[in-house]
Amino acid sequence: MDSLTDNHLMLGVKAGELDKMALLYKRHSSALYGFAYHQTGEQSGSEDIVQAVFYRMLKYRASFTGQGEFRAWMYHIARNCIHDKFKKSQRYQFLDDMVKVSDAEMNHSFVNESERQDSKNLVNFALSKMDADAREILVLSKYQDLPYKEIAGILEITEANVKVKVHRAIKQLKEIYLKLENGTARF
Amino acid sequence: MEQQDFNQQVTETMLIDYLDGRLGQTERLKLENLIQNNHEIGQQFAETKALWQAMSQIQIPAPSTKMDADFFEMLHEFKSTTEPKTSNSFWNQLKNLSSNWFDSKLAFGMTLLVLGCLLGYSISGVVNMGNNFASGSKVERLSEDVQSMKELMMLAMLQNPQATERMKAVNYTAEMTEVDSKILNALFSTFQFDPNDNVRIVALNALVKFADQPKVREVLLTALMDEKSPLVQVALADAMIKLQERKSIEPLQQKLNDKELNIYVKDKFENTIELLSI
Repeated sequence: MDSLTDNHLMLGVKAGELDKMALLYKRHSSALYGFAYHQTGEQSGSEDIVQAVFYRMLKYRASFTGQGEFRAWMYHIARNCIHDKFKKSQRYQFLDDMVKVSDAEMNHSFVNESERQDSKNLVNFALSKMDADAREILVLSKYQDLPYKEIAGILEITEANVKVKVHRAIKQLKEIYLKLENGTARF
Repeated sequence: MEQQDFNQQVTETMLIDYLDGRLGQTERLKLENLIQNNHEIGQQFAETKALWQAMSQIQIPAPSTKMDADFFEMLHEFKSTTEPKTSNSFWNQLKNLSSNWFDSKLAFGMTLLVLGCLLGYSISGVVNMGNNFASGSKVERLSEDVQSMKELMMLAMLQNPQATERMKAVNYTAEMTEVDSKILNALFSTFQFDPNDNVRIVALNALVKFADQPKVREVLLTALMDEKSPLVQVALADAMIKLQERKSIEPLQQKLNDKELNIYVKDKFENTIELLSI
């Protein structure tokens, strides 16, 4: 089974067996799409990001050493792609598109009574209003289901620091959520 | 005192670890005790749990099939533009060397051919060795995966609105030694319904390769009767000659009575009948 690990496949790609990238795509494209979508809120934008990640992995395949986990390397590239997209669009809070309402609308009419009762919508909106870094660590932990150790590798911080950041991120999300729920949010 | 220390250590991270079943038994029992007996922590836990569960319910739209198609197209392009460069300096040296002796293009082409043959020979040797040394299952599984990816790539690219891309998709079958029913059906459907005649002809040629399957011959014979496009009709006649399909003589003869049959196609059909009747 060793020959089928991500690291072995990527080393194969590095050695010129480019078709093996298709297997890595099969394994990770869906998760990468989710990672991008939870941060951008755009379907086609997220698909573009997935495309960009795989293109960069092909282009910079020589930089993969096989020493660390392939996934950490891949997410590292994915973060750069997302960051570049943010820079390109020159709006850091482009998750606003996710809910298709303006901030002004949100204060008064977005969170109406029925929606306030829908915790799923509220949490979704609350996520969109978080700091990008805090949201990212929650996405990695919750939606990508990555262990803290791997998140630490991706973010290049210690595992203990990851736990602290997750703690803060949850607190931030909870605060925003409660404000939305009580109708006292001001963004 | 120990319990008080533990109270202070209860973080949101610990609560979600508990919810995700990632806490060790000792910590889990301590936390459960706290949640039940400490109102503040019980409240904190209830809020975190509600939030965590609501997060689980958020659904995102699935990516479109275009994402797969774009990836495979990108991979295909990348391969075609970069593969010759993968052996960089060695290649260049060969090219430089050859330019001193022969016409560079011809020599380089011949060198590529020889190297390709050697590479193919050595790869087959490696595969055989792998089989001999009982690592067959790994190689087999890997090649199965590659095969399934090629199939996925082909099916995704067939949805592309550009005819050239659909043709590329059909051409992927050239690399396949065996095809499953999914691929065959995709080829049938492309051959029968694609709006572009050229794509249909490429699909027809791809089907000829799998004519050992009775269903393929059946579809092609039926198409002889139903086909309206002169271009495809001529391609079908060529396919019948290639396959030496004598069963096609009867439908071809019937079509000769069709008053709407294009005059050039009529000639072609007559020639085909003649060739198959020998």
